[in-house]
Amino acid sequence: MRKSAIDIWVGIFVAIGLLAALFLALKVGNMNAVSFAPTYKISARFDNIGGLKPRAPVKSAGVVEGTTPEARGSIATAIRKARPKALNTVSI
Amino acid sequence: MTMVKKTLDLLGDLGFFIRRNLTSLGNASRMFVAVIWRSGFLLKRPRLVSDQILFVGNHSFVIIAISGLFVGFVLGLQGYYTLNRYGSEQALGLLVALSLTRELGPVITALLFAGRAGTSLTAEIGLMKAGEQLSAMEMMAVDPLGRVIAPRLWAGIIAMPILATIFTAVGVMGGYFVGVPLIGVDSGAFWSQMQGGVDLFSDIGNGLIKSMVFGVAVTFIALYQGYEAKPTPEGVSQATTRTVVISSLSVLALDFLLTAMMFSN
Amino acid sequence: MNTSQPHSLNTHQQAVGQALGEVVVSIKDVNFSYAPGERQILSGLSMEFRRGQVVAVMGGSGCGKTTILRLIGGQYAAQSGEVLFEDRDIGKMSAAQLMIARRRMGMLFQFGALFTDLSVFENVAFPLREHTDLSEDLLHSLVLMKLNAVGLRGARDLMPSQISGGMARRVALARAIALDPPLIMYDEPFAGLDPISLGITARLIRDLNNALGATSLLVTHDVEETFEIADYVYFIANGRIGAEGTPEDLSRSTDPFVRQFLDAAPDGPVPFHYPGKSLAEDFGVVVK
Repeated sequence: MRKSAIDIWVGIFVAIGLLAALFLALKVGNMNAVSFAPTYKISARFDNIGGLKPRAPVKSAGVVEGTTPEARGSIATAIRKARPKALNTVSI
Repeated sequence: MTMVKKTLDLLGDLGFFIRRNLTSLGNASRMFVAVIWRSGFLLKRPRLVSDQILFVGNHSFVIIAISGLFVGFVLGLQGYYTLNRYGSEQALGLLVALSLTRELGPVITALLFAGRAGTSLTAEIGLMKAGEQLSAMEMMAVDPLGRVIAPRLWAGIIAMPILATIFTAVGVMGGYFVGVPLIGVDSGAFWSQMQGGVDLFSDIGNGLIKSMVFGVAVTFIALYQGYEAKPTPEGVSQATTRTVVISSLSVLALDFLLTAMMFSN
Repeated sequence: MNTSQPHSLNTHQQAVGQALGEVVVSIKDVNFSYAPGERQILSGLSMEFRRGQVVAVMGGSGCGKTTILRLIGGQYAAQSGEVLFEDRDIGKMSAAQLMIARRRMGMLFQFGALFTDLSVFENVAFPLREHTDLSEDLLHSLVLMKLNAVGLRGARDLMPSQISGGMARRVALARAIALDPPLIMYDEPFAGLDPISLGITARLIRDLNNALGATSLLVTHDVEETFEIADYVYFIANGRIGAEGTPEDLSRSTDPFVRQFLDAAPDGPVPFHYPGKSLAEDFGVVVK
C-alpha cells in the first residue's frame, strides 16, 4: 500500500474512534457533568437521607435539573442549573 | 526414600521456575524502560507509528466491531430477561451502557486484541529475529528497540482505546436494537435512564483509562515475547501461544485491580 | 606476503605492488565462550586484517568462525584479549561509540537478512535514510548506483519474497556497502548458491573490495571460490589458528589438518565419527 493510502486509512480509523467517543459522550453519558450554564446551590437538612448518594440527579417535575455533589449524614447539597420558574416539588 | 527425593526435586523445579520468571520479569521491565527512553525520536518520524496503527488498529477493526455488536445483542437480551423479573426493564439502557463502558468494552477488546494483533506482532518480531533482520539492523548501527519495537508499542497504546470505544459504542447500539425495536422497551426510557446513570468521567473516562492500561500491557507482552523468542519455527509458535495466555491473564488481573481502585466508594 | 599473485582477479594487488596496507582489524589473544562454564569457543586467538585485502577465515562447522565476526561487530565481548577496529578496542566501547564504529562496517548475513516488509530499493536505502540527511533525489541516485554495482538495478521495486536466494544476497551486499564502509564482513556468502551465482558473488566481493579500497573478511568453508579471490587465509581449529598463509602456500601445505580440508577427505584430524562408545560396546561384541 502506498504511503498516502496508509495515512488515509489510519486517519479514517482514528476518525471513527472519535465519532464513537462523541456518541458515548453525548448520547450515552451524563452531559450535565460538563455543562457550563450558571448554577446555584441549594442545601437541605434531612433527618434521614435514606439511600441518597452523591451525584444523584435532582429532578424538577421529572426533568433532571442538577446533581447532588454532597450527601452526607443528614445534610444534602444540591446544585441546580437555573432558577426554578415556580416553587414546585423538587425531588432528589 | 524416593518420596523425599521426589518432593525435593519438585521444590527444586519450583525454585527454578520462580527464579526464571522473576528474571524474565526483570528483563522485560528493563526492556520496557529502554523502549520508552528511545521513543522521543518518534515525534520527528510519526509515520513509523501511523504505519503500525494500520496493522494493529485498522486490521482489528472488523473483529472488534462485529464482536461489539454481538455482545450488545446479548446484553440486550439477557439484560431484559433479568430486569423483567423485577419489573425494571426500563433500566435496560443503563444496564447495557454501564456494563460496556466500565467492563466489557475495555476487557473484551483487550482479549480480542491480544488474540488478533498481539499474536501477529509476536510472530512478526519473532520471524524478524529468526531471519537475522534484528541483528542486521544492529550491525547497521540502528537500534531495533527504537526503530522496530517502539513504534509498535505506541501504535498499540493509541489503537486500543480507539478500538474499545468503538466496541462500546457499537455494543450500545446493538443493545438498543435488541431492546427497543425487537423486544419493545420504551426508547425514551432506554436513553434517558442511561444518560441519567452513566457519568462521563467516572464511567466512560475510567473505561478509557482501563483500555489504555490494557493497551500498554497487551502490546508490550506481545512485543517482548517476539523479541525473546527462540529463532526457530517452534520458538515463534510457542511465543505466540505465550502472548495470548500471558496477555489474557494480565488483562483480567489488571481489570480486577483497576476496578477496585476506580469504582469503590 | 604479497609477492606474486597470478590470479586473474588479483590484478589490483599487482598494480599496488608490494606495499602492505595498515592494519584495520586486529584480534589479540582473545578468549571467548558464550556463557561462563560453556564450551570455550576461542582460546588465545590472534589475527590481523589489513586494508585492501580480502581475507578468508575458514574451518569446519562450529569452529568459531562466525563468533569472530560477532566479536568484531561488537555483538559480543571477549572475556580476555583485545579486538581492535581502527586501533580502538570494540569490547570496551560504550553503546554510542559502538554505533559510530558500526557505521564504518558493512555486514552481509548468511541468507541476506533483508527486511521483508521493505522493497529491494528501500532495503538498500535503509542505512542511507537512517544515517544521512540526503535529499530524496540524491538518495535515489545513490541507491540505484549500489544496485547497479550488484547487477540488480532493474529489480528495485520487487519485494524480498519475490526474488531468489542468490539475488537476495546480492541486494544485501548492496545494502552492506551503502555507506561505503572500510570494513566489509561476509558470513558464509557462498553457502547454497548455484555455480553461476557463486562466480558472480566471488567476483563482486573482489571487485567491490578493490573499488572501495576496503578490507573484506570472508567467513566461509568454500575452498575453490575463496582461494580464487583471497589474499590471505586463516584456518581455525579448536578455537585457535590451525594454519594460515596465502592460498598458494596453503595449497602446497603438508599439514594434515589443512590437507584434510583442502582434499575434502572424510576422515583425518577432524574425525568422521562423533565421539562416543566404541563399536564393540554398542553392538555387544565382547573382545575377550
